[in-house]
Amino acid sequence: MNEEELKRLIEKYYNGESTEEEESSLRNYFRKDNIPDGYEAEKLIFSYYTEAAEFSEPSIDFEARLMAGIDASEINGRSEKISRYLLPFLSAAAGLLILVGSYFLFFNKTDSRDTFTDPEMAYAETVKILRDVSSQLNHGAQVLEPVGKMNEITRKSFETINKPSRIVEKKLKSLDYIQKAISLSHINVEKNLNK
Amino acid sequence: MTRADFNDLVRQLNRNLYGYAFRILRNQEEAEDAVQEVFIKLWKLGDKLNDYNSIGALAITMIKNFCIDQLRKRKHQNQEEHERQDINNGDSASPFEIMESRESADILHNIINNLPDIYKNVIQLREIDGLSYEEIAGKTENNINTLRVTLSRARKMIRDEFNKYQYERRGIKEIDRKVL
Repeated sequence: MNEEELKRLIEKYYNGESTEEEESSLRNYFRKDNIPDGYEAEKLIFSYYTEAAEFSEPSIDFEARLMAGIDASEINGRSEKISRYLLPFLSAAAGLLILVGSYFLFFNKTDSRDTFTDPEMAYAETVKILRDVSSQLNHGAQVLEPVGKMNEITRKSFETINKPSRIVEKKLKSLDYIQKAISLSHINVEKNLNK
Repeated sequence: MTRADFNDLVRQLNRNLYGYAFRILRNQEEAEDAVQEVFIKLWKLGDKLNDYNSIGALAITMIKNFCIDQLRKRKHQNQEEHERQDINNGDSASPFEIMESRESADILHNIINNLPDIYKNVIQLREIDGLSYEEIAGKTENNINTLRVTLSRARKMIRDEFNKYQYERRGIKEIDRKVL
């Protein structure tokens, strides 16, 4: 189709005089990329009609699905809020669970269990264990004996150190007596002088 | 806004938003998903919705942005596919180019929708549904000559309105090109 032909057909089209064949050749013509200047609007208009013919309506349940989608988003939103409020409680609960769990893990093992069915056997075994403990303790005491000896030596050496100091003390006392005797004799001398 | 009010809004806007998304994405399922996304986002705005003068305009902006994102993702996927297959046919239009042609489609859609019913009807039957003149005359109980006159007026109205829009858009396009 040359430009002249195009111009003629377009004119007929706008005047409502074109045949169905002429209109479809126009529509085909405007599918091309290169069209003469001045027909940009027609190109867009014809391609709009072609596209609009391909338009598909939304599915029948579209509106209902929209509503359901909004409901679902609302539920999601609320659960987000709830979990935000629950977070401290959830962490507290987790901590408690760890405590309870570790109690069962560590303390349950120390649960006492009956190992003897015969009480006499149990008694004999207990006595044996106690004796073992006592002999072990005695053994420990024997090991400590040198320490006791050391203590005794220390006490004795302190006594020896203290002996000279007691002698010095006695001498000092006798000195004290002498001093007193001298002072008394002085007083007597003074009395005699006064007389 | 109560849930009942919001449901009214959904009923009122969903067809319009779907049409908009379909003209951009050209796929029923993707267009439906886009509308769903936008309504969920709107509902989550809660009381902030009251701050907007026109929720319809806000919804259109949101669906437009969502669709542009979808186009970008699609282009990205196509590129990856081309790289994997070592094919490059170089005809992948940019999201801007796609949006430009889709916006023309949207403008035309609005122009036709706002025509008086008598004109809208004949355009739908002849140009979109592709019925013959005879069939349309039978349906609309008109003679073919009257139908041709009506159709002529409708076609001229669409052209004139569209040219007006195109003229106004030329300024805005330059800004859009930079943004996209």
